[in-house]
Amino acid sequence: MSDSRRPAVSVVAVLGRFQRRLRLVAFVKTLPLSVAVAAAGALAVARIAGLPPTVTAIALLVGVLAATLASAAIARRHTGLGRTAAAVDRRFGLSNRIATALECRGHDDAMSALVVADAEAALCLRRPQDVPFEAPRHLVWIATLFAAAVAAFVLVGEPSTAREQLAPSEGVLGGSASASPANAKRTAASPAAAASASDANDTARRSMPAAPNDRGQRVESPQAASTNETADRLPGASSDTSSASERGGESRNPPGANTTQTTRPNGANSARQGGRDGAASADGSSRSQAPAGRGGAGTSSDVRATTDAAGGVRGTSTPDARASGDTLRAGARASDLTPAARWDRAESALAREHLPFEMRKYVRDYLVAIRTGSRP
Amino acid sequence: MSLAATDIEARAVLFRTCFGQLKTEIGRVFVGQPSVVEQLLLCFFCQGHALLEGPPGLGKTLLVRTLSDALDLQFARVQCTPDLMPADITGTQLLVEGHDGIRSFEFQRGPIFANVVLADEINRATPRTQAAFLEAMQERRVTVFGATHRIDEPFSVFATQNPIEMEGTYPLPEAQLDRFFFKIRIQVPDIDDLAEIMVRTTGEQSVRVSTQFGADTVLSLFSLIKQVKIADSVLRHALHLVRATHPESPEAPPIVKKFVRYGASPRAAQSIVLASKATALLAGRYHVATEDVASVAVAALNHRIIRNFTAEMERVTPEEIARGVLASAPAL
Repeated sequence: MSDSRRPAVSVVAVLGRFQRRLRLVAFVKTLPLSVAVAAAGALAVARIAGLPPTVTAIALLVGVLAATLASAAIARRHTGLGRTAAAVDRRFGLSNRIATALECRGHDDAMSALVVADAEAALCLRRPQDVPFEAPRHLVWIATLFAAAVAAFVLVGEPSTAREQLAPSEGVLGGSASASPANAKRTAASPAAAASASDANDTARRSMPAAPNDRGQRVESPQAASTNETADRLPGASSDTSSASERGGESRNPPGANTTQTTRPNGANSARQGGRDGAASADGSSRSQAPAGRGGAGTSSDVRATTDAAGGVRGTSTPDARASGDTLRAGARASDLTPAARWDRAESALAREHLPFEMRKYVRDYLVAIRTGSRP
Repeated sequence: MSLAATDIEARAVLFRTCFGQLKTEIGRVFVGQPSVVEQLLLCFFCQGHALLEGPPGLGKTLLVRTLSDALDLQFARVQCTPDLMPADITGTQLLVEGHDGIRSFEFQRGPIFANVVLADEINRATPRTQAAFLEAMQERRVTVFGATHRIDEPFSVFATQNPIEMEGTYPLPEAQLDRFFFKIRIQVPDIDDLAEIMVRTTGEQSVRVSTQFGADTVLSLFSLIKQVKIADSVLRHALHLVRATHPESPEAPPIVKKFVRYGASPRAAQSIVLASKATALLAGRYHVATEDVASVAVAALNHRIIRNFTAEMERVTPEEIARGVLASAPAL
């Protein structure tokens, strides 16, 4: 019986328009909550992990994108044809007309045809635009959550500005940042470790006589321990330098000794992790495996490898650094590159590292200060 | 649009017209309480049986009698008393002599074989006699001396009972109550209705109702009611109401868990759905809406809810419980 089937298609077609509208309404309704949650989560993760602004922005973007997709998925999931029919019935007071017609479509009996025709007539009088957008529920709570997240992000970020007040000459790359309270909190696995990280700060600062532009003295001095730590963050020196820092910065390692393959007191893997995790691993206590780590003293060979890999400052590199560094994997020895290429390589290596903004700025300033063209 | 659809529309119009005419005719005799009249008519058009409950003198018998007068149908009245026997209702075998002088047993039909049966004060009959109604009401047939006799359609039993005088009565068992489509409670009329009753009953002229239509029309309309569509969601809403009257079910609201011993049977759901369909037709629709279900749910549920001791002590009526169930049902 084609007469009864024909209107059913029409009802479904009209209902499809309402379905799209309801999806849009549901999307708009759920979007603020999901975006607020995602943004707050991204900010929290960024703050806890000490991500730089660029990465934080990316995390925010990804979070918002994911929230948008989630809202779209939710809106799509909750607006099937049946739900759409029920919603339209409820919205326009149609007394279950559309829901019944949807079930009657395709039936051959005359009563079904009447029901479908009745629903079609009722739907013709309504437009999808008549379905208004709804304010999301708990909008106040959503706004409060988001505001709290932003405020927490801003306020928690305040203490790090204290590090910016340190004079550039006060410490080379790792000193101040590596033992910052935030990093100590992040990397310390125990209160004792956190305390040792804090001690490392003091030790590192005390053992940091070199000025940023005093390249030769600082990087080669066994006392410039925390250089190792920060340089550890640069590509090309990850495993070696971190293992050096894992050894606790005892300052007893002879300068120039390549200790990468020789001694790894408490597990090289953890040392590598500690080197990546943050500057607080300067004392090797980030994994609670390097006892009595103090100062983050490294070895000159490590430093050479690091600086070499990061930008070829020294012009030499150890085999280990070459083996593990991204830069060296790219091909040429750093010493073979032009100063500009070295600088670009250092820049890119620095950009890949997850460093706090202040730390990144500090390292960059340092590199600017020590590059060939900037020397007085 | 097919011819059948046009026919359905015509019959739907006829249903609304008949319903309105009957309501008007009954209203000429029975003053006020339009909802009671509507429920009675719904019950009749759905081929159900109704239990009318109310104090004496409120016109229960008059209501049913007026309905039968307005219809071109067979009407029988049974005044239930403790000495009423089942055979007085169902009929019995009588020894009769034929024209040829041969005597034989012949089944003499009882009043239950009428189209509209008024069982007045049914709770005064003994349980044995009450049970005689059971098969007739449910199966629409009577078995006497091993022989089964079908009851002609349409068939409706309207029973009345007085809730006040309990002495010498036999309350209907739950199985019997369950067979009633609706339980209609008749209220004391307000002063305006009372004044109108006085004018009509104490004046010189007596009001008479006119016959409207016969059995064929009723059966045709009943067939139409059964064709009305109900969406699955609405059906589940009705079933939810029935399930919610059972204290052990997860759908039960607190009032049911506290005051109900046993809930409504599937017959309640049948009553709700059928009455909802008739209500939808009256509203000009060919499908059932949730408001149709809500409008008939209390009348279909209140006599099927068996209260516990706490409810009786706290005087919580089944109607209150049914309304609580309705209020707690989730919206579609």
